[in-house]
Amino acid sequence: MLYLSMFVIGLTVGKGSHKGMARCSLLLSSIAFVMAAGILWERSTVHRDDYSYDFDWLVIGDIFYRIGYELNNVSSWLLMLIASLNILLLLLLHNKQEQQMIASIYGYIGLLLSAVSGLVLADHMLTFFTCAILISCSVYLLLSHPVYGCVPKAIFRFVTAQLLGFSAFLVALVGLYWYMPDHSLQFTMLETVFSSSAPSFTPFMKKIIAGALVVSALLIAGISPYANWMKHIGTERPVLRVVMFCFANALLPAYLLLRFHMIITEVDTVVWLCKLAGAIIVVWCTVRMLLDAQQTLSYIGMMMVGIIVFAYGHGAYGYMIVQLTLILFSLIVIYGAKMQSSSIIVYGAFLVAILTLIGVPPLSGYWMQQSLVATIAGTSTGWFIVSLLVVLCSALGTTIYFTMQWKTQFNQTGKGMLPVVILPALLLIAIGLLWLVDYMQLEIWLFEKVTSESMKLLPMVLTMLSVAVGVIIAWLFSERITDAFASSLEQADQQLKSQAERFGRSVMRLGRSIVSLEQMIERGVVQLLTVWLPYPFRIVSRAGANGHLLHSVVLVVVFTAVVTALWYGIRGR
Amino acid sequence: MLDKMILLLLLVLPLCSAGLLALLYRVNLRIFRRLTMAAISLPLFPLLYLVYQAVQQGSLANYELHYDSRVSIFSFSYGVDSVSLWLSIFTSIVLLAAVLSGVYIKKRHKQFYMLALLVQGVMLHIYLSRDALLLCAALLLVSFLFMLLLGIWGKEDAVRTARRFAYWQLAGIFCVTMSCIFLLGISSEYLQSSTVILGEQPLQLLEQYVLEEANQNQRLLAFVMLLLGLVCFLPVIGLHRLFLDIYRSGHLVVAMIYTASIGTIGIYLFYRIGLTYFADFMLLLSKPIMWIAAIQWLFSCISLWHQKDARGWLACLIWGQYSLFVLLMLADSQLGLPMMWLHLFSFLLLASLLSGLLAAIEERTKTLQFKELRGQLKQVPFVSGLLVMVVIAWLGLPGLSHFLGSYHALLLSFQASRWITVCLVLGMISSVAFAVRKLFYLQQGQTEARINKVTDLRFIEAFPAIILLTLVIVMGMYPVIIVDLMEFELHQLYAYWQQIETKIFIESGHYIDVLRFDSSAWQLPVIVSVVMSLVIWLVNHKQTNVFRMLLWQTVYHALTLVVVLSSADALSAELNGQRIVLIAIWYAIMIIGSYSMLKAVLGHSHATLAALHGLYYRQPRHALVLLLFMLALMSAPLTAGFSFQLSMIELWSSQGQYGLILLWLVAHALMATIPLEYIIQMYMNKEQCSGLMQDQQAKQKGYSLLGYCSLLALLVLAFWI
Repeated sequence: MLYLSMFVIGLTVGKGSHKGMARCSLLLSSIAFVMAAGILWERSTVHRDDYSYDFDWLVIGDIFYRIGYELNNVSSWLLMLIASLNILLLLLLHNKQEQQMIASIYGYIGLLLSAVSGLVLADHMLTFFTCAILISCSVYLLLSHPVYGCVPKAIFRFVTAQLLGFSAFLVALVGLYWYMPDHSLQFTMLETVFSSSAPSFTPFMKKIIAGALVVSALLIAGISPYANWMKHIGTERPVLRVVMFCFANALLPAYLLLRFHMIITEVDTVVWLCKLAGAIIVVWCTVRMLLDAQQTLSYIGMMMVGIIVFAYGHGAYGYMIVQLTLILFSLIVIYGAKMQSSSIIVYGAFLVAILTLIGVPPLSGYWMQQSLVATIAGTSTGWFIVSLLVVLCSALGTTIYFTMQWKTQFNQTGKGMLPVVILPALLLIAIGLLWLVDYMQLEIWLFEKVTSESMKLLPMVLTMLSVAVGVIIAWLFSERITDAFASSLEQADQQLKSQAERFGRSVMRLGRSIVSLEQMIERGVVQLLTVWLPYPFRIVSRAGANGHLLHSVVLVVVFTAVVTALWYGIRGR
Repeated sequence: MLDKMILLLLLVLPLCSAGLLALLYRVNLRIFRRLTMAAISLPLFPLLYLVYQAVQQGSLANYELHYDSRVSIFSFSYGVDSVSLWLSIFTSIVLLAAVLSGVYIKKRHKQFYMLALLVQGVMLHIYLSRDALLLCAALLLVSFLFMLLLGIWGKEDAVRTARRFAYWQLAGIFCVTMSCIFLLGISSEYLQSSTVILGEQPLQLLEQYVLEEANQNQRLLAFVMLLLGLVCFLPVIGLHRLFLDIYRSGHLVVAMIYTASIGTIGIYLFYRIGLTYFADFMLLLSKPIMWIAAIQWLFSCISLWHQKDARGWLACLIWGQYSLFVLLMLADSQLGLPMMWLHLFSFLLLASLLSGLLAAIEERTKTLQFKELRGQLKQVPFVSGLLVMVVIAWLGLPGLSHFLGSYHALLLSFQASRWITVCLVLGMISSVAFAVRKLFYLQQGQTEARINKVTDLRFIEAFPAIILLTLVIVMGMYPVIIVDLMEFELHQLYAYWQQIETKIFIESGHYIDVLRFDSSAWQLPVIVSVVMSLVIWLVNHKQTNVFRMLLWQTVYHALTLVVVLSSADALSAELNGQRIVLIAIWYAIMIIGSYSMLKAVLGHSHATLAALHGLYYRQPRHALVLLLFMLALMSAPLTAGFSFQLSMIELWSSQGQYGLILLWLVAHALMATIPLEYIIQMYMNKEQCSGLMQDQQAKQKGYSLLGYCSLLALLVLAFWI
C-alpha cells in the first residue's frame, strides 16, 4: 500500500514538485523499509511458523477467489531485500545527476515495487500472475518514458519477450487450473498435491506445465538471443537500468522458478534442461562479451541470471536467494560508486562489489560459488565439471566487465552519498563472514532443509582455481589475444546474425502472404454474395425502375404468373 | 404499487423527457444540452434505488408490470432482474458519457441529443420487457433511431453504411420475430399464456416442457431462425464488414452509443432466448460455435495489423471482444455466465472511453491516420495517459475491469479444446504487440509538421472519461459488487443447463412440414397476393418515381387485405369486420396523406426521388410529416398497421399457418425498405434538387392541408384500432 501510494502521488499531486515527490518517496520507502526490517527480525527471532492472511475477493457459486498473502522466511528475506534496494536506488536517484527525473518516474517505481512486494507475498497463483504482469507493465512505463529516451527496438524486444513469457505462464496456469483438485490455484494446495504423487496430473501435462513455466521465466528474464532487450537500451540513465534489471530481469524470473519448484522438479527432463540452459547461457554470454566489449553491460546481467538458472537445475535454492542478494547489492555499489566522488573508500567499496561478483576468496561471492560446486560435486561428476566451467566463465565475464568499468571515468559530482555505496559493500562482506561462520544456518532458516554440501576441500580448491583461470583468461584477452582470433569470432557472429535476419524476413513474408490470402478470400466471398449472385435480380429491378409504368406492370404480372405456376407445380408433385 | 410506479417511471421518463425537449426545441443550445444531460441521468436514480432494493430484499421479482393489449400474443409486460438492471445502468452511464461527449458533434446538435434520449428510452424498454414480441417491436424502433444517428452524423459514406445497417437490422429482427412466433404456438402448454416470456421463467418446468411436451420440429425451426437473427446482430466472421464500417464511417460519439445499445443486443438475445428456450441445441452446437468464435478472435487480432487508422483499430478491437463473450457464454462452467456479463459491462465502459478519446484526438488533429498522428500525444500528457490506461485495461491488465473476463475466456476455453486456448493466446499476443507499437509511435514518433500544437482535454471532455475510468478501476478491484447481485439468477440458469445437458434430444422428421404450405389456407388469391407482393418489391424497389412508388405501395396494401380475407375464409376463421374496415380506411388515408404531402413538397414536374434529397434542410416540418407517413407505410411499431399485423399473426399462428406468416413477413420487410430509402434521402442526403421551382410554393398549400388532416385522421384511427 505504501508503494502504491507512491505511485498514486507520483501521477497526481507529485507532478507539482519534483523535490517534494522525491522526499515523499523516500519517506514512504523508509516506512516500508522499517516494516520489512521488523518482519525479518520477528521471523528470525520469534516466529517459526509461516503465517498468512486471506479473504474471499470473489465468490461465484462454490468457486472462491481467495486473495491474501503468505509470509514465510524466504518472502521476509526478499521483502527486506526489495525495501533495501529501493532505499538505495531512491538515494541514487536523488543524486544531482538524476534531478531531471520527473515525478512520474517515482510513481512508476512505486508501482513496480508494489507489484514486486505483492509477488513475493502472493499465496495464489492468480495474484502471482497479476503482480508479475504489473512488474512488466511498470518496466514498460519506465522504458517508454520520454525522459528515458529509449530506442523503439529495445521496447519492442522487451514487449515481445514479455508477451511470449506471459503467454507461456498463462498456458501453465490454464493447465494447473484444470488439473488441480477443485480448480484451486493456491500455492499451499500445489504443495499438498505435489508432496504426494499428484495423481490428477498426467505425465504429459506435468511436462507441458513445467516446460511452460521454465520457458516463461527465461523469456521474462530476457535470456534468449532476440529477447535480450537490455543490450539495446542506452547507458545514459544507469540507475533506471539497475532498477529494471533488479526487479524485472533477476528477481521476477528467479522467484517464479522458486515458487513453482514443486511442479518443475517433478519433471526430470525439464530440470535437466534448466541445468543445460543455465550452462549454455553462461558460456554464450562469456563468448559474447569476449566478442563485443561494448555490450558487456547487457550480457553480464544475462550471465548472472544464467548462473541462477543453472543452480536452480541442481536444486541449490539457498544459493539462488543469496546469490541474487549479492548480485543486486553489488550492482548498486558499482553504479553508486560511478556517481560518487573518487575517495579511496568508494574505490574500496567498488572493488569489494566487483570481486564479490567475480568470486574472489574470501569474499561472499567465492563462498557461494564453492557451495554451488560442492552441491553439484555430490551428485554428478559430469555436471561437476560443467559447474567448474560455469564458475570459470562467470569469473571471466565479470573480470571483462570490471576492466570495462574501471576504464570509464568516475563522476566527481555526487558528494555526500557515501552510505549508498558503503552500506551494501559492508553487507556483502558481512554475508560472506556469516556464511563462513555458519554456512548451514541461512539455508536452514530460508528453506527449513539442507540442500547443499559445503566446505569440502576439493570443491573449494577447484572453485578457486576456476576463478583464477577465468580472471587470467580475461586479463589475457584484454591485453594479449590477437586480432585474428577476435575477427574470426566476429565473422561467425555476423554469419549467425545474417541468418537470423534472413529467417526473420522469411517469417514476415509468410505472415504477409497469409494475411493477403485471407483478405483476397474475404473480398471474393463478399463480391460473390453482394454482386454476382444478386445480378439477375438487379437486372429485373433496374428494368422495373427505369421503364414505363406499363413495363413494370407487365413484369409484375409475368413474374407472378410464373412463380404461381411453379408453386402449383412443386406442390402438386 | 410503488414497485409498479418505479418501473413505470423508468419506462416513461426518458420518453417524456424527449417529448419535453421537443417542445423546447427553440431554446439556447447550451441550455438544451444541460437539460439533456439532466434528463438522461434521471433514470439512474430509480435504477440505483432498484440496486438498493435488490441488495436489501435479495430479489426484484415483485417489480413487474403487465398490461394486456388487444392482441393476445402481445402484451406490455415488463419486469426487472439483475442482468436487466445492470444492463440498464451501464447503458444509461454510457449514454450520459455520450451526451457529455456531444461537444464533438458539429451539426444538428439538438436532434442528436433527442435521439440519444430516445435511444435510452427504447433500450430501457428492451432490457425490461418480458414479452418477446414487445422486445422485437422495441428493436425495430431502436434500429430506426440508429439508422438516423449513423447516417446523419457519419462521414461521407455513412449514408450507405446506415442503409446497409437498416437492412441487416430488419433481417435480424425478422428472424428473431419468426423465432418467437414459432415459439408462440408451443408456449401455451408451459406458460399458460400466449406470449413468449423472457426472464423469470420457472426453469424446471421449462426443462420438462422443452424436452417432452414441445413440438421439437417447430422448436428446431425457431432455433434456426434465432441463429440467423443472431448472425445479423453479432459481427460474425465473413459477415463482419458492415460492423467494421459502422465504426469506420460513423461518428465516434455515435459509435459510443452504438456499442452501448445495438452492440449488446445480440448478446442479450443470445442469453435471454437462446440459453433458455434452446439450451439443448446451444449445448449441442457449443463446440463448433466456440471454434468459430476462436477463429474470429484470431482473425480480428491479426486484422489489426492492416489498420491504417485508429478507427479501424477500434473496430477490430471491439469485433474481437464479441468472440470472447460467446466463448464465455458457452463455456460449460458456472463461472462462464457471470464472467461474460462482467466482461460485457467492462467492454461497454472501455469501448465508450476509447471512442471518446479518439473523438477528442480527431477533433484536435482532424485525422486518425496513424501515420499523421505520429508523436502527437507527447504534447498532451492527460490524453496520452488516459489512452495508455484504456488500452492496457482493454488488453486485460490485472486490477482493471477487463482482466477477469479475458483471463477466464482463456481458462474456460481449455475445456472445449486446447487449440481454442492456443488461438486465444496467439490473438492476445498479436493485439498486445500491435497496441504497444502504435502507442509508442503516438507518444514518441516524429511529429507531423502540418498539425499545429495539440491541446489537452478540457474539463467537459475529461469529465466523462474520468467517470468511466473510475468505474473501470472499481470494477477491476471489486467485481463482487456486480457479480453478487447476478449470481443467484445465473446459477439457476447454469443448474438448468446441467440438467438439460444429459438429455439432449433431437427429433428426426420433416421440419418443413411445420410451415404447412399444403394447408387449405393456400388458396389461389392468397398465393397470388403473396407472390405478387414479393414481385412488386423485386421490380420496384429501385423505383425513383415517387408517385409510382406510392401506387405500388397501394397495390401491396390492397394485396395484404386480400391475403387476410382469403386466408380467413379458407381457414373458416372469424374476422372482426369492423376492424378490417377501419384498417382499410387507415390504409386509404395513409396513401392519400402520403400523396398529398409528396405533392406539397414536389409539385407536378419533380416526381423523382432526387427531388426529395435534403428535404429536411429545406422544409423540416413537411419532412417530419412525410417521415410519419413513411413510417405508417412501413407499418412501424406504434402505428395501426403494426397492430393489424400482430392480429394477423395471432390469427395465423393459432391455425398453425407459419408458412403464411413467414412469407407475408418477408414480403412486408422487403416492402418496408422502399419507404426507408425515402427517409434516408430526406434526412441524410444534403444535396438539393437543383430544378425545384420556387413558384410552386403557392400551389402546395392545399396539398399540405390535406396531408396534415390525413395525419390527424391517422392519429385518431390509431387509437381506435
